[in-house]
Amino acid sequence: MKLVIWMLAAAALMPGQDKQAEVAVPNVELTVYLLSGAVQGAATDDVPQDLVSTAKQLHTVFAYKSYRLSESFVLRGRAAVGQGFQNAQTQGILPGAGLHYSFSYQRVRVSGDKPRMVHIDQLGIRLTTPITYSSDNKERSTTVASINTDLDLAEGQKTVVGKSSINNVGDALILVIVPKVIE
Amino acid sequence: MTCRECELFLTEDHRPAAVQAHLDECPDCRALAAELEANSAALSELRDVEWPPEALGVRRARQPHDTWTRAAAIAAMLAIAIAAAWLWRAQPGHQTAPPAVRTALVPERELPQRGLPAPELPDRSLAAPVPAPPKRDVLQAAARNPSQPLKIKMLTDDPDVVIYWLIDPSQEE
Repeated sequence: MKLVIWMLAAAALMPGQDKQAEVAVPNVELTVYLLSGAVQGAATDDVPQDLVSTAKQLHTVFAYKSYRLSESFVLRGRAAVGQGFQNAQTQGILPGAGLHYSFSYQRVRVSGDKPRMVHIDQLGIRLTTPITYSSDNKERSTTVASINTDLDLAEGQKTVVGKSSINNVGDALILVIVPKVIE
Repeated sequence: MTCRECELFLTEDHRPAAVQAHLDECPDCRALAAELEANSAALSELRDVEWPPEALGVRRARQPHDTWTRAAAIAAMLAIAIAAAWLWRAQPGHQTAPPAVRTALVPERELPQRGLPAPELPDRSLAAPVPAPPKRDVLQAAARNPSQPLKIKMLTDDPDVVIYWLIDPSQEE
């Protein structure tokens, strides 16, 4: 009789254990800001309040006269389990210039330590010209700039990834990424 | 900040706070900075030295050699200055208005394990087919794969802000 009771109790616990295993995988929310840097023109930054301190640090390191926000978005997904790939991607059109952007990553992993570190495999952003069609109806688009790298980010920390001279006039392409781990 | 980046700033009058922070931590760069300052001080003192006639005679006799040495030194200084300016140059461009924050949901799917070929991606330039090794030493990784961009980590006064700057191999040359 005791054996039967133990078996029933174990069976009752099993669904609960599955739920706990599912909950253990955190979500990762990436707030991404796309900035541009210029060395000429008005020395006035055009960034949201959250990025004022970041722009200040950029001014101490680089000679760009101003930094401006081109686009921002929030990307949220589950952290990778094991060696699985995720291949998340989002894309859009930058206001004004009409350039297309495509932001993606291959995998996001989260460390168990505090403060938590978020490791992004194959983070990438690519800016392309608007699509045009040739006489034979083939799509044509030219890459203006791109960034591809792996990144380690501390939770809540503003991590800047940039590249200078992304075009013939020397603009800088700058990403600011703020990760947030959601249990 | 890397030692390489620090060296670029050592010859400049104004040193960013990040450079000073690196000097506080790195004995090699500190020694290099001290040596440069000592050389600069020694050269400054030479300007005030009044040479006796006999010494001037010796100097005149050695003038061709000194001229070449000075020319080589000036050329080296110019090369360093041009390289530093080239690395950190930036130019103007058009800007766009700031948009509102948007939210995008991330599609997720489990794919084959490490070592197996990855599936077709929407854009191959944005996600390589196999995961890259962790970059514990950026310079070492760049040396292993020259096509990879050099990633420079810059520490700032603000502990909440970390800056990584990417330099393509074509920019380094």
